[in-house]
Amino acid sequence: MDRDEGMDDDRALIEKILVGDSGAFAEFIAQYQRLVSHIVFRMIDNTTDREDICQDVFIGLFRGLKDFRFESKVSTWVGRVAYYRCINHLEKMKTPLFGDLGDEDWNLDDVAGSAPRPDDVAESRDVSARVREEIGKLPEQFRVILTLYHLDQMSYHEIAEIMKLPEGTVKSHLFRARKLLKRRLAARYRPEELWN
Amino acid sequence: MELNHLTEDQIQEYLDGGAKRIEQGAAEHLAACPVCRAAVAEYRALYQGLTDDTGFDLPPDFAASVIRQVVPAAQSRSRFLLIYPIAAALLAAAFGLYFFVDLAGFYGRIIGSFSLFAGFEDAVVRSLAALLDGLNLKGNLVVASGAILLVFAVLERLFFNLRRGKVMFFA
Repeated sequence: MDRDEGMDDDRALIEKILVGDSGAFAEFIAQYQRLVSHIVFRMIDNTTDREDICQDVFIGLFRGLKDFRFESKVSTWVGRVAYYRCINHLEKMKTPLFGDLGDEDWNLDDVAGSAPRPDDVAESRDVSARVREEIGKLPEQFRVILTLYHLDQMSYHEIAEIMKLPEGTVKSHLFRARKLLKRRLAARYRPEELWN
Repeated sequence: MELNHLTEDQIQEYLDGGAKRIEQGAAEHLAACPVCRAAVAEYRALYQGLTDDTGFDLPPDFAASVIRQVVPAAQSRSRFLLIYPIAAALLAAAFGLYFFVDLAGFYGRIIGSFSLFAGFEDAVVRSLAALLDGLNLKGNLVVASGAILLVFAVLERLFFNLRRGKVMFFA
C-alpha cells in the first residue's frame, strides 16, 4: 500500500468516526494501539499508570479528530499525542527527562550501567529480555527513539515530527542509545549470553 | 586491507542502510576484517533484540473500555433526539383529541378517579379537576403542545452544544 492510499484509508476511517460510527473508532484503536502502547510503556515505568495513559491518549485523539487536517500521517499525529501525554505525566511526577542531562556534555560513561550482578544474569533468559531490562534504564527520549525506529519501523523524519526534534538529533540520539545499550549489556553479561 | 577498524557509528550506518551508507574503503575493510565483522554481528544481535521486544500488551477489552468512555454522550444525544418523534406523536394525539373527542369533563374524570385511591389528596385533586374543567383546553391544547415541543428542542440543542464544547462527541 503506498502512502496516498494509506492516507485515503485513514481519511475514510476518520470520516466514519466523525459521523458516529463507533465500530470505526474501534478499528482506529486497533490500528494504533500498538504504537501508543509502545510509546507509553517505554516512557512510563509505573505499570498501573500505563493503561490509564493509553486510554487518555485515545480519548484525546478522539476529541482531536475533527481538527486533524491530514498535514502529517495519522501515525505521526498519534505518536505525537502519545509522546506529549507521557511528557506531561512525567513532568507532573517530576521525572527528569533526557534534556536535563545536557546534550553536549553528555558522556556515555556518566550514564553507563551498573556492574554485572550474577543474580540478575540468571534471571534474564534471552537477548530480548536483557535488552528490554536495559532499555528501561535509559533516558526516556532514548527509549522512545529506539522503540519507534526498531519496533515501529519509523524513519528519522517521522520520529523527528513526533518528538519535535531535528532529524540529525534523532539520528545522533539513536546511535548513542544503541552504543549505551550495547556497553551496558556488555558490562553485565558474558559475550556468549548476548551475541550468540 | 585498511588497518582502521570501523567505528561504532559506521557499523550502525552499515546496519541501518547497507554498504552504500559507508565509504567504499570502510566497506572493503569490513569485508576482509574478522574483528569488524564480529562487531557487526554483535550489533546485529542487538538490533534483533530490539526488534523482537515484547511486553506491550494492553488488555483485550481495551478498545471497548475507551469507547465506553466516549460513546455514552453520543447515546445520550440519541436519547435526546428521541424527544422529537415523541413530541410529534404527542402533538398528533392532541390534534386527534381536539377534533374527534369531546373533552368536556375528560380531564376532570381522569383526575377525579385518582381521588378514589388517594384520600388525603382528595380535596386538592378535586380542586385541580374543577380548575381544569373550567379552562378552555380545546383552544389551548394545540398551542401548549407546540410550546412544549419548542422548549424541548431549544433545551436539547443548548444542552448538547454545551457538552460538545467540553468534549467532541459524535456529531
